[in-house]
Amino acid sequence: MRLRSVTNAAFPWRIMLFAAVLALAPLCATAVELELDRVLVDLGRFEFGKPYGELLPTLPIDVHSESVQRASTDHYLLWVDFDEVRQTKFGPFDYFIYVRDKSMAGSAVTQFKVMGTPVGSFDDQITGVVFRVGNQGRLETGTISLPIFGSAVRDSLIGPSWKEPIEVFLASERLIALPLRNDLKAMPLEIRGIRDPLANDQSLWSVKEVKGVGVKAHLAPGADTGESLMLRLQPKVTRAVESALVQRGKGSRDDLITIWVDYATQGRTGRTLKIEVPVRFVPFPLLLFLVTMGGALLGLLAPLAGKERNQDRLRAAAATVVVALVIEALSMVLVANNSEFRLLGFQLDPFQLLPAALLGVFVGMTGYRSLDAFRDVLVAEFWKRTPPSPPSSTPSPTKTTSPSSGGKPGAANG
Amino acid sequence: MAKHTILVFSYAWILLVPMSLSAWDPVSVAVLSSGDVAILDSAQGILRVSDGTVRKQLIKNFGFLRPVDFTTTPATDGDSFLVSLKMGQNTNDPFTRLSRWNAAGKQTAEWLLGRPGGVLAGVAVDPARQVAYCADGRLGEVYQIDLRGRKPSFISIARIRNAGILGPLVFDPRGQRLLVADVAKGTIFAISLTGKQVDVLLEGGMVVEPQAMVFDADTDRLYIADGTKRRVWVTTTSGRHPEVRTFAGALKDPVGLALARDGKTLWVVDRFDQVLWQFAADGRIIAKIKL
Repeated sequence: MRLRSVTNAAFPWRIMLFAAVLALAPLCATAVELELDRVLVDLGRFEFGKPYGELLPTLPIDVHSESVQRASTDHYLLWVDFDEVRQTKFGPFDYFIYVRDKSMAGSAVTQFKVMGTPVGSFDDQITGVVFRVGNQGRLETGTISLPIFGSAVRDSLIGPSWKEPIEVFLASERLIALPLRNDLKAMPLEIRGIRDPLANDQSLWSVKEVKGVGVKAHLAPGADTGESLMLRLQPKVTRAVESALVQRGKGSRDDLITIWVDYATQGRTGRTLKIEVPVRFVPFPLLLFLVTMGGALLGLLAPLAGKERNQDRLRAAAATVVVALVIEALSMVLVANNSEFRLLGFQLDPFQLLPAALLGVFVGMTGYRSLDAFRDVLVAEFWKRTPPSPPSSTPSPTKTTSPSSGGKPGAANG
Repeated sequence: MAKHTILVFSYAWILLVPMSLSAWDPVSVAVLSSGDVAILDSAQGILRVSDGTVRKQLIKNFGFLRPVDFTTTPATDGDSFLVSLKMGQNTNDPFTRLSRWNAAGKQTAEWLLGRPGGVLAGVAVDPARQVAYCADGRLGEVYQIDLRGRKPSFISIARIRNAGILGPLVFDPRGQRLLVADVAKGTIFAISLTGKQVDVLLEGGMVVEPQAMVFDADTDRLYIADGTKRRVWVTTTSGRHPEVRTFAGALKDPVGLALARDGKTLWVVDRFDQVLWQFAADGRIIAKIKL
């Protein structure tokens, strides 16, 4: 098979000859030979193909760069730039390894391109790879650090998740830590960027931003960002109060903030981690008490309408307000300790404005009997997790009386 | 736990537009019926280039799947695209598939390979019979799929023993055969579609890493982009001793080749430099378009 190089026919013949020589030069076999051994890992191996070398006049990489690894033998120096390692479109990985003969003068190096192919699934990792380098069959052995890659890639950057919404006060800023962790045990990763947080309801927020980690931040194997990455939220008070009054979104959250973190590991193209932060607006306790008190006074209007004297009204108001506040405080404490608060069969959250107001109204409607009502509340089913069991259908063996005799009709059934 | 090494800045990098976030990562190129050029980019989908400028994003992205290769077929409402896809960066992929997209950017069909351990690589099409061919980069097989069938599925038509990684694939209509390259070994195979016989067209060694191929049936010229030797080879497929020529040009990582309809212009997309080259048939550089 003959080899010919093609140049523009308009060029003079000497230039054509020179170009032909240049075209052929990279094809000349280099004097240096290089071999890389396969790497055996748990559940797989990484195979290196035959390196293809060509002579370069100078080393094209910066040997002082953090991404450059170096190795040496008695007569040879080797370099590899991790930033040059990348996956080809059909799956294998390309490496460029530069070799210089110490005994040769000048700055010429041999650039070897090697293709690596994974067999089996294992985590990407940086490991020592045994190589042999030499000339005319006299090979020297050494080890150089190289990244190797598994067949199956997994999410290597792990972010936080929350089972319960994060509470955000209605009128103040909240900082939420977003710890990110590199789940790979032997490969660093690079956080390339963090996109602007996106809320389901943008109108709820005056400020939402991520602070702390910038471009090209590196995470060592197994490392995490701790609390250096923070989500800063500042709600718009009016919109937040509206949201707190009317339940928004799914479950008990008022909004969902989504953050995308773009990252990459050595040799791989980028991936994205999605972090979802559920938030719920929480009024200050003082505001809740004020709302409860207001609800109590509102509810009190009904039983007092035009019937009692002022003194009775004041007494009823005082009792109502005190009882409402105590019930609200008690319900807050108990719900915070994993109890439920139910009113007329509905589960209510005493930390929300509307339920606090409803509680106040309910207590207020009992008027000056609120103290009695308070005692009833203490023994009622408000604090129980399960609703009260229905009355038994089996009649208990008691004496029966006819309706005409005036006996109590309910006693027969207990 | 190892201490983290974080470079702390006052504010994070704000990135609002997905396209601005992703750099170019071209993997293939094709010529459209209109004469314009389409570039397959793993981050940005399929984009149309005309008059030296990237004009329009025809297909925005492929979701969680990554494109490997593509080809075009003429259709009544414009060209349609056949794209081989795989999930993420896995080389063993149960979700690898061939999908078809129309000129409006809508997906019109998709076919999962459904074979354990297989992953689709190069794709070619016989436009007359509406049959697509795909190389399997892991199993060393070549499949055909009848695009007009009622329930099209992949049928293996050839298996190449001791193959490394099968990659680019081209269809030779006159010879009724497929030409497929082994990316790992540099070998070019010819698969007869009539007898299903597999022959070695070009032994590995001279071509080291064939990442793309395009075939000119009128002149019997096969163009091969070599990623390791950073050049484009040209060879004829007939005769006992095919000759090889090389193209000049500052190629770093040629991954895609496309030939104009008249056969006089060769397009080469370079992944490393993110450049689209336009060459004349004699190797002269006509244009260099920065992506």
